Amino acid sequence: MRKKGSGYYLLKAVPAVLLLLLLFIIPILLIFSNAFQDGGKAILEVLKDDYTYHLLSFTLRQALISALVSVALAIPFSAFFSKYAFPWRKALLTVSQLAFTIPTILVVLGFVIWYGNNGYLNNALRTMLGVSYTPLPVLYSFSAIILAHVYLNFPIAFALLTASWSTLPETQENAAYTVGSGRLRTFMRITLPRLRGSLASAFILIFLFCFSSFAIVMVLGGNPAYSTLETEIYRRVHVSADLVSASALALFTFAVNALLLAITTPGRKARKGERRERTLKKAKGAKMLEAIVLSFLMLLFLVPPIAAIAIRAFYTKDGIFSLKAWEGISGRGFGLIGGSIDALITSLVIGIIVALLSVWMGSSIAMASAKRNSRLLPFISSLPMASGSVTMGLGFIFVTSFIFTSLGIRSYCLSLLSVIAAHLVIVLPFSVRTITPGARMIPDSLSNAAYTLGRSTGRTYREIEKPLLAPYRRKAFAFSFALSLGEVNATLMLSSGNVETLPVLIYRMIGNYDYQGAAALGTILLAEALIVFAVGEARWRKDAVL
Amino acid sequence: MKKTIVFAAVLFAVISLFAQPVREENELTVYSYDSFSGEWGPAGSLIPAFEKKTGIKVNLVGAGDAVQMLSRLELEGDSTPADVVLGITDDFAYRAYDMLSPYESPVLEDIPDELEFDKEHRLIPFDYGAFAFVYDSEAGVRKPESLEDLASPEYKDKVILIDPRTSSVGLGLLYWTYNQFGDDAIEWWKAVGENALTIADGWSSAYGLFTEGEAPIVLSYTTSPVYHVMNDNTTRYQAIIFPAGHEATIEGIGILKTTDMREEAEAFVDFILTEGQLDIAIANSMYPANSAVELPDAFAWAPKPDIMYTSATIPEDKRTELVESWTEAMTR
Repeated sequence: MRKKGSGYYLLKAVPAVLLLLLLFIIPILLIFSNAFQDGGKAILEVLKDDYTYHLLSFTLRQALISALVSVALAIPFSAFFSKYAFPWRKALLTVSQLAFTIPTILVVLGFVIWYGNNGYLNNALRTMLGVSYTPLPVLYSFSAIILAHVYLNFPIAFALLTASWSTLPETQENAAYTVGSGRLRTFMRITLPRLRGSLASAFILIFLFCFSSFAIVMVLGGNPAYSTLETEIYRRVHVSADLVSASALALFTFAVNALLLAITTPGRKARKGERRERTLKKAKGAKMLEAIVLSFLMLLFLVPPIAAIAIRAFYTKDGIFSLKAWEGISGRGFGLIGGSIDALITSLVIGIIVALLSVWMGSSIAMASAKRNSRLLPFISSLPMASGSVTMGLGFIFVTSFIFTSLGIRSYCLSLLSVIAAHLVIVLPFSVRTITPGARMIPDSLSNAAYTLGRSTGRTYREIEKPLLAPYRRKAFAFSFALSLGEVNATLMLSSGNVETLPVLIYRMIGNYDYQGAAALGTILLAEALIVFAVGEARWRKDAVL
Repeated sequence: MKKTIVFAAVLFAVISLFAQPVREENELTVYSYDSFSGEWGPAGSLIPAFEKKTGIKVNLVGAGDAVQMLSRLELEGDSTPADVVLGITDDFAYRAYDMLSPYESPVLEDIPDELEFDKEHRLIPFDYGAFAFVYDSEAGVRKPESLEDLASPEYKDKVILIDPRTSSVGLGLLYWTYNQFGDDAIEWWKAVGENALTIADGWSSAYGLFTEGEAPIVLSYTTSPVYHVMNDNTTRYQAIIFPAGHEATIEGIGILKTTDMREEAEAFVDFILTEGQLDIAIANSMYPANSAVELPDAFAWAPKPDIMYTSATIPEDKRTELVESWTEAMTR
């Protein structure tokens, strides 16, 4: 069934679809035509090879466990955070998104500094227990992979769930309690089904994220047997230079992920109905205590690894306090402080442009698909997630060489634009997935009432629907910004080293053996993210709860 | 507020576009890997010096890493705007030969024969390095004496290796073990893999683990200690020279067949092989190919191995096969 004004929404979704077409679908099709170059022999080989399934089973296993743990862990926290108000609630919601912005290499470093065999935690335990062995050998094992993935992805689940849970009225739950239904039963039968959309959204985002995880699996897993499909595609592209068989495997991986995506893409049956933002109850007494305990637990989990990075920026590896990194940043060569301030601004500008565009495009796709009851649009826009960064990289190589050869331009302008476009393609799935549950929950009656009163489609969108989407749009903005800020692979690949963002600088510093300097830049990156998130929350405070 | 931010952002973007110089005609186009052309790379001082000396304008293009640079050249074919390509390593050289034309540079006589991996001089070496294990002399482990020694049980969880599937350094070690042990290389990996704390995805994370004290031995380069001497003023991290030899990696520069600026291209190559040598060696942390160049004192901490292998001697098929058997042995 089409609804009034669906043409308007479809039209609004055109720019986003065009972008996807140019930067994602065309290169992907080109890559896949490679896979069939030898008449499908390469594909058959991939399908017949035991090793493919060996890799697939490990990849699925770690992604499944990571996503399940992240989402399950988020439920109790979101339940509380979407019900009660306490003074530091908003600050905590902001801080929880931080981990998301750090480039993987720093996450690995932060983990090693905190959880490592020679890290803060183990050294402290060693001193306390007076032992010489490693009391908590968490790293370099399968559990380390899960720990790191949950660390990175718990905030996604937490933020998505809290955003949508805050918009569920409690009337049904209260009714259930009145007729004597227990808390667990009420949760399972009343609350959970209504959260299904967000749960599925969070789950699949995290699942796909972990599916294409690379550095964390390899470094923290500690055993090459922990290899994902992505590693194998990488090897075929970069070591064997066998593009045909790499494309075949990429196609296989893509098919698996696309299937999973298709299953979990929000369908027609999304529940609508009464939908009102909750008024948060003030936490008092026992609830205040609960707030303190939950917040403490969350901080205990989320803060140490990033704090370790910030501390590392002020200490040499021998534990001596030193401002060397910060002096180094100001004194080196062409003036790295100049370099890092430029990089900071570049990152900030790219991040904000990308986040604004992605919220705009994400909303338009989400609205168009909600109005037309389409699964196709959100599905297409989520596809970049299904392809993994190595496959995307392959595609980008193709696009850039095409652009550079046919147009013959190599300006900073083109580099910057292509970086923005690439970031946009990478963050768009997040944005669409975040906003879609919100768009589907807007009751038709509301929009129809506006039309009856003579409002145009555009005005109804701006005045009625857009404000209802606000909490989702805000989450989408934060995620998009965070992702763009931490993005490094596509940036390096597309800018030919022209566009110097903070994470690019971090990689350069590490390449120069300067881990303290990298930690210092990482701290600057975190501070930048914190400021933008804080400003973003402040800007929207007036129109939403979260 | 939002509009202001958008406006400021767009304004900034527009200004930065116009702040960039426009490409001129009659420039010598040089492809190099990103770390060479980037702001911190040696290009920052080298290119202006060359332009000043010769009056030839250079358009330096960072074309990704060495492999991406090759892929780009292959895709562009005869229509490539590149005149010179800088930074193709010996192991991938075979893929570039068809696109390059030989150049008998007068500087060749200062370059040791054993470095000249391409006897036709389509690619001329400009710097080289050697892979080595670096160890923390204050960690209380015995200094290993050979590759075989690393398999000794005392090094359990004391070694950080790097995956040959995802890193050129890891691949370097695989070639190294093959050059030394032949097909028994895989047995070495199995044995030392048991001792490895982890097999990292790349050099960056491996070396980060090492400097954070997670394990006292790491795969890196012979030149790694130089950084610690120059930046941290410590000699605690030392590269270990194995008498049986080390794997070398040699970087070459070449002139494209399709260039219409042959003379300028030759001048650039000669410049890189003479005046450019020291800057490149320091920035890349490699040894200069030109034996007449004198290095700063800190390079005393980058011992040169007596015996060096190159992967150029391993046939192409064999290399692919090696990584495949590695994958088979280590990950199944």
